[in-house]
Amino acid sequence: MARASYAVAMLLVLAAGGAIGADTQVGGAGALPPQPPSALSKANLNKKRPKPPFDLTGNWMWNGQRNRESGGAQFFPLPKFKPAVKAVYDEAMATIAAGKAYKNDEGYCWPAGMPESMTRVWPNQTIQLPTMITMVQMLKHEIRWIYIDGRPHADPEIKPPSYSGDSIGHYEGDTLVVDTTNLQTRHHWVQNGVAVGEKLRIIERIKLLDGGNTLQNTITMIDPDSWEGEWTSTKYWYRDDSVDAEEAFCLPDINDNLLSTRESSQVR
Amino acid sequence: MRKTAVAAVLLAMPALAHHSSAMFDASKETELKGVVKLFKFENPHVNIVVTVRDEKSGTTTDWFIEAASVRGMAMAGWRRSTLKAGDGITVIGRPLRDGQPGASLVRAVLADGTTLAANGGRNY
Repeated sequence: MARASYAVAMLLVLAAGGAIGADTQVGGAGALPPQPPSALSKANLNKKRPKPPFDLTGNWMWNGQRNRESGGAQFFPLPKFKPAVKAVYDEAMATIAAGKAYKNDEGYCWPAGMPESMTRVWPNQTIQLPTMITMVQMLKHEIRWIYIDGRPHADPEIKPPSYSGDSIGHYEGDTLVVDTTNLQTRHHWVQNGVAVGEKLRIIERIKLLDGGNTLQNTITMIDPDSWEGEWTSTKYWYRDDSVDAEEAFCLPDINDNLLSTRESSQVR
Repeated sequence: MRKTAVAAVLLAMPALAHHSSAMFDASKETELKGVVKLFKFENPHVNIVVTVRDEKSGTTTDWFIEAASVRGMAMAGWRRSTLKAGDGITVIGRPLRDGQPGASLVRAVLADGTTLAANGGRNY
């Protein structure tokens, strides 16, 4: 029966003018434009480069006290939102003030993604190599790969939008500048009540202060569809040498017991 | 006026965990005396379910207690073996605003009288 179905399918393909043969096959490396060498390839790691002004390797903890003045996990001061965005934001603020969560997708195990993943309170385990900085946010193990090997942004046609986006970094004096684009918009939020838009671009200016024990990140967000001009907020982390990251998945059987994920606690 | 409103919203905002805490009444503390039904000492949030008996009616209610991370609780003295089903416990928590049987853990008094805080110094 299965063989008969296959034969019918083949006949239909041939009748439609299709041909199955080596001359029509596509695929393999030849289908892609030239790609940068892997950030972990020895050739790339060993390439001669100027010494970076600092090494971000370490466990970075969100400095809640210091970040209060810039809105805590929110990015203050706020920009002037476009009317449609302002309406959603106002609805979210009213919902939260009334004691409910507003579309708290992260609470339902969706990734926080950029920029929200940077505002989590769990250890951010950062490892810097000559070619790449890897940030592992302990909560749900969200990963950022920041390429510092000189490559351009990836082509969105072959690297689709993602929650961490496509991050390319370079140094300007004592500052690491990271440009993140190509962000996934599905169930993805900048902060409470402000959704990530297709055009969102995030530029981080990262410095190490206090003898390398404070990470300062001035985050500028541009999205002409959602707000006017640049939205900039500065956040701080402190180095914590007493902790390592641990497993922290968002598991259904744990999550279902959480009061904050109950339907009665939400506006979805 | 606007500043007050913004401040009020900020105070009500989810804290810094990944789940919102807007539904807990931070201005109140509820004391629950009961028996442990479930204790899952796992990240990202430790789960405790306590069965509370109403002495007048004789009915029982399961209270869901949302707690901190393993590390935060471990720093307060909690261990995986601290609780097991059937243990007596008194929980002090911030109750749900809507009156449902649930709370965010503030501290707990174990059957042997030991008091353990919800978190020993972590924000998570």
